[in-house]
Amino acid sequence: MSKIVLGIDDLPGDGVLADPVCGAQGQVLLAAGSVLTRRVVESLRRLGVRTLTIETPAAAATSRVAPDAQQVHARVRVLFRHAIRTGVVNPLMHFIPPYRLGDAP
Amino acid sequence: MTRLSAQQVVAGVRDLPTLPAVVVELIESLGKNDISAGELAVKISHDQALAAKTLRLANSSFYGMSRQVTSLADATAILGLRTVRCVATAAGLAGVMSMGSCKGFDFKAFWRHSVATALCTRGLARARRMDEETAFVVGLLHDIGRLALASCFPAAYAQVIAYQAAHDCLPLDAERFVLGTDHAVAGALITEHWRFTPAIVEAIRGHHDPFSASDAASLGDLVHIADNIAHGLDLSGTPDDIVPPLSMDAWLRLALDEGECREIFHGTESQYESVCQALLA
Repeated sequence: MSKIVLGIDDLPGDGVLADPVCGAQGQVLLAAGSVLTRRVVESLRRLGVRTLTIETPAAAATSRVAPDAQQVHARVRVLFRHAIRTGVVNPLMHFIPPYRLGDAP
Repeated sequence: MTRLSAQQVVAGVRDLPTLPAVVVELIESLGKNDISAGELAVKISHDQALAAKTLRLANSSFYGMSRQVTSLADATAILGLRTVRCVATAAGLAGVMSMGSCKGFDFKAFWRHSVATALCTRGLARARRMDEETAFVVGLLHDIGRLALASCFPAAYAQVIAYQAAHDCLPLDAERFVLGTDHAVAGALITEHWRFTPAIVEAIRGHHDPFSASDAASLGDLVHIADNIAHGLDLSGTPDDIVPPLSMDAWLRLALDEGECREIFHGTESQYESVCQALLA
C-alpha cells in the first residue's frame, strides 16, 4: 500500500488514515481507513498526535475497491482445505469471509 | 527419508547461534517485575543493533506514538517497562536467526507468519486478561522449531518441504513422516536450551495440541488459536498456506464469539505491516 507520513498541520482536506492511531496502551483510537475530517483532526491534535500516516491517492483508490465475494470464498476454501477434507469443524472458516467482505456479524 | 533421533536434534540445537547475553537476561526476566527501568535501558543500549530495532519498533504505528521516541530511556518512560522488555526481546530473537541455506525454506514468510501470530496471541491475551508480554513472545517463537530444523539439518528439511509440496499435507505431518520428529518438539528443545520459562516451553511444545490443566484457557490455547487465525487471515503471503486443525477443546476454553474474533482480526492486521517492517528490516 502507498502511504505517506504527514504533520498534522500539513494534511490535505479529508485525507484517509492509512495506519491506525493507537494510544500508549496499544488501544486503537482511530482505525485505518477513517476519513480525516477537520473535526477528527482537531480531536487528534488535542490528544497530542503530531503526525499521521495517510493513504496516497493511488492507494486510496485501490483500497476502496470492494473485495470480490467469490474470490474471498475461494481463497478461504484453499486455506481451510485441511478442515474441508477431514470434516474437522473450524468456526474461523465461517468468521473470516464476512469479516473480509465487511458484512455485519 | 532422514530419520532424526532426539539426540541428533538436541545436538543440532546446541550448535545454533548463542543468544546475546542481554537477550538471555531479558528472557529470564519475562514475567518478573523486579527489574528497574534504568537498568533495562542500560542493558539494551549495550547491543547497538538491538537498541536500534527497539527504537524502530517503539516508533512504529504498533505503539502509535504522537512524537518521535529517540532514546531508550524515553522509550521506557513512555511505553512502560514491560512493553520495552517485550519489544527488545522480540527484536533480539529476530536478529539472531539469520537466513539459512535450506532449499525451499521461505525465511521471509516464516517471520511474517510469526509476527502475525505474535500480534494475534497478544490480542487474545488482552481479551482474556492474560499476560500480553509473554503471549507476544510465545507467538513470535511458536514455530522456531521449523527454523531450527531447517538451520541444523538443511538437506533433511528440504526433503520435508518437497514432501509437503508433493502431498499438499500439513508441515507437521511432513516433518513426522520424513524426519520422525516435528517442529513443536524441536521448538521446545531450543527454547529450553535458551532457558525460557517452563510455561513458554510447554506452550510451544503443545501449540498444535494444546493442553490446559483446568477449564481456563492456557498460554498454549492462546498461541494455538492465534496460529489458526494468522494462517486463516492469509498474512504470510504464501499461495500454498494451509490452516492446521483447530482444537475444539482450546476453542471452547477461550470461548470467543464472532465479534471478539473480528476485533482480534482487525487489531492484528492494523499493526501487522508496521511490526514486520520494524522487526524484520
